[in-house]
Amino acid sequence: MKKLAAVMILVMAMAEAGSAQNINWRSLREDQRNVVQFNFGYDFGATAQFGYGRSFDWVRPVMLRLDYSFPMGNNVVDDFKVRLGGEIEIVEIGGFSATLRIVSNLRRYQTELVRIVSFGSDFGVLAGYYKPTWHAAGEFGFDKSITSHLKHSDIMRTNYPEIRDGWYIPSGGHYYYGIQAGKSLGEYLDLSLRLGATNAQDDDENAVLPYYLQLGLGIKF
Amino acid sequence: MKKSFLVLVIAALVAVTLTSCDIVEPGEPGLLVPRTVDEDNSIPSIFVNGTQLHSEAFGNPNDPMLIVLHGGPGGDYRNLLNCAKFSEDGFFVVFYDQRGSGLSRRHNKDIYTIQLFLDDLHAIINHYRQRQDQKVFLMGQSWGAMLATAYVNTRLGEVSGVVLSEPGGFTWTDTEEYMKRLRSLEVFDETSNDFVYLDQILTGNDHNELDYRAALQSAADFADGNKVGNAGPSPFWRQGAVCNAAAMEYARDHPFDFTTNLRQYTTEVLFLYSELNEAYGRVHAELVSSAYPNVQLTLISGTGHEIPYFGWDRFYPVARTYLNTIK
Repeated sequence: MKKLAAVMILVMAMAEAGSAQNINWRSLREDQRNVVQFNFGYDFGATAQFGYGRSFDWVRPVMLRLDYSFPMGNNVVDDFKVRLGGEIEIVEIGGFSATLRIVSNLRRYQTELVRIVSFGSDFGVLAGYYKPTWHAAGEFGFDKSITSHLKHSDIMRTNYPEIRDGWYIPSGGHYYYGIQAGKSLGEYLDLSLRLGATNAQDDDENAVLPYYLQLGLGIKF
Repeated sequence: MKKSFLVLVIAALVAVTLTSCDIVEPGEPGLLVPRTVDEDNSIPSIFVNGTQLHSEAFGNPNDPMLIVLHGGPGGDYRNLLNCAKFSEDGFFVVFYDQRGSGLSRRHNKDIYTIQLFLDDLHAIINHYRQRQDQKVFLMGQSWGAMLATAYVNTRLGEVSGVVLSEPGGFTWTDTEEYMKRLRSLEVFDETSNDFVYLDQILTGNDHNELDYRAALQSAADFADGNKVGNAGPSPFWRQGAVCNAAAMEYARDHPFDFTTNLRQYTTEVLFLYSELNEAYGRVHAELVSSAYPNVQLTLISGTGHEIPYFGWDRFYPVARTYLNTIK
């Protein structure tokens, strides 16, 4: 079990790839290698997201990204998700395009009862129709929380003194499937929309609200 | 190249750190939630109605019996243990964690019905009863008060009095309305987002995992600004997630009405509601309690929904006076 966890962490880090944002490969110009992205929506909570991406041509078009998201609330630093990864366009035929997404993610969650730090990965595929000023695509992926460290508060320890802090594996995962679309506004801005549903892995219980919805604004430069 | 090397080094360090620690599975019994009566025989238990329940009793077994019913479904009696003090007032006080709740044995989702909870309660009474003319009183908190009323409705002549603290409703319609006020998710609220944010980190189908997740999500019950008015956390052993989900699903599919015979129950009922529960209030208390023909409706000040725990100093004298008058 320990070796498996170590291998998975290594694989995640080596993947060093993308994130769940909307890219229209056709709207990126040669002189616009950088994208700053602002998103807001519902993704296991009302969340805001900030990201930066840079595109490269490595045999196929690639975009590497780093983004940070957090749920709304009085304390916006106790819970967050950091994602490092990228997307690579693997097929382009006419206006049709397919993209592979590989992301490693770090999540933090804290309440009065527990602090959780979780490492995971996100593998997804997007396929759709892309024009220079708009795109529409479907997406499917699997977001896995591979291992989590649990640190319990005094409240939990009072309730159950034998409760055990430490690393737990596996901790969770869900499939997601939905659509995304985008529209370019002038030379520098892209508006985007993602929406879809989530389904917990295996026979796990689904999320309270098993949906996601994300509105985004991308600035290209 | 340098960047890739750096990433590999960091990943290797993380991996080495992990391999030097114990990594365990969240479903392993006893790690994240306490073991239940069938997993730990040192826990006091009884066998009734085809299950094993965590149960304790205080006082003289020949005194009038006072059965304490906890909330949930899926909660436990740990935060009601103050009520053992009624044994000093001449009552034989009986506690039990309902089927699938607290430290009682777990069951799979498909067995739960309201009738099963009623049958368990009847079996508990028969288990502890010393003689047929021994009086039985029911004291219920939240769902426990609903269960007490369902029992009264089906066995009118068998209950000598009831103390009810903020039952959600005696019909599914009233209960659903209360729950909507209680559990509405608010977009910019920390507690709401904490409740749902956990779903991406912990998923599971194992009882231990689900109970643990439910325990973490119970932080919403006492977070700053909680609607039920709880001043802080109240103790519990285990949140019975499967029991809760199954009972809720059953109620949605089989809407209940526990009031069909209540007009015939003429014994005075003590009905309590709290000052600080924003989702309850006098209007809802009057609506729900009106199903009984003879009600002493009393506000317990300075507390929220968990009246017997946070409002014990005010609850106890009111409940004792009521019980002593009909004992």
